[in-house]
Amino acid sequence: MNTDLPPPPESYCRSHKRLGPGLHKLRLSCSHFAELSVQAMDRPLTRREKLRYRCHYMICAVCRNFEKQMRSFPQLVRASFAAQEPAKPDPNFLAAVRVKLSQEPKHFI
Amino acid sequence: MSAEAGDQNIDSLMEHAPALYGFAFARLRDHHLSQDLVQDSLLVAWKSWGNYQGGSSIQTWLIGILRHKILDHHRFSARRPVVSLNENDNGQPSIDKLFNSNGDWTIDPNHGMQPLMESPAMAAQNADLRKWIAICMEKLPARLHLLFIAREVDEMPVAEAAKLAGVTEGSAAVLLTRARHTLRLCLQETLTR
Repeated sequence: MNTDLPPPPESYCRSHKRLGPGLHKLRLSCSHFAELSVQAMDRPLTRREKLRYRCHYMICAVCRNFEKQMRSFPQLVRASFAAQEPAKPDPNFLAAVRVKLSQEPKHFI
Repeated sequence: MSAEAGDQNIDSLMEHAPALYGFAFARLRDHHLSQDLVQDSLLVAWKSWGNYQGGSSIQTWLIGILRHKILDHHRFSARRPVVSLNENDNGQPSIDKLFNSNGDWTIDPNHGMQPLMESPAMAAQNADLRKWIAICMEKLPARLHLLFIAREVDEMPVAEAAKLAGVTEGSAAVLLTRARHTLRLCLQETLTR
């Protein structure tokens, strides 16, 4: 599916070929890091998770940049949502609601 | 109460109907459902007009009612055998192959993503990024879209957003994680196309 995107930089591939299996066993791999980085947006991480997060952060430049992207995410989403022109209701619908309201018994004081 | 005063009250409610519809449609992306829930909300507001304390603005009060209507709608529809949340991915990229069996990246997650890495403020000011992320958000399945907007835009706590979208808190956490990965990848594919 993601064939259009290039593989990670060569230096990453070389170092992670050696480190990958060990990191994975310790639950310190890039996929673990990415998981924690995204989960941290919804809940505070536990102490142990924070430790795993920091360990990986220190050793992996690719994931540090991934983290930068995720930091920008919420603000971008909010800005994008706010910039959208709100959908307008059908005037016939508004007229119909108005009629419905006027037919309701008056409940206000 | 004179008929004229009643009309005035209707006016002061109807004045907010377009904003309510815009709010509903942006989250539900369903024209008929949005109409139904907006109409229900206005009827409820009309009936409880006497309860409106005037503390918050009318619009805030109405949006509160509308949120309850959305929540009710999903609570009831959640009992029906609903389509899975992963159905119709609408051509969203798959995030299953981002990592190999060692948990290493199979793609370069940063390729073409410099505009997002400068700073959060810079990214938010970038009109192209805003447009593309909107297109990617459009592709999320309906309920996931609602959940994501509730959490990310309305900044609801996960538990509350989960209720609104009619999913359990546990699955909301998983779904949100998937949504973020999917959106990031969709954005990357768009930026590098």
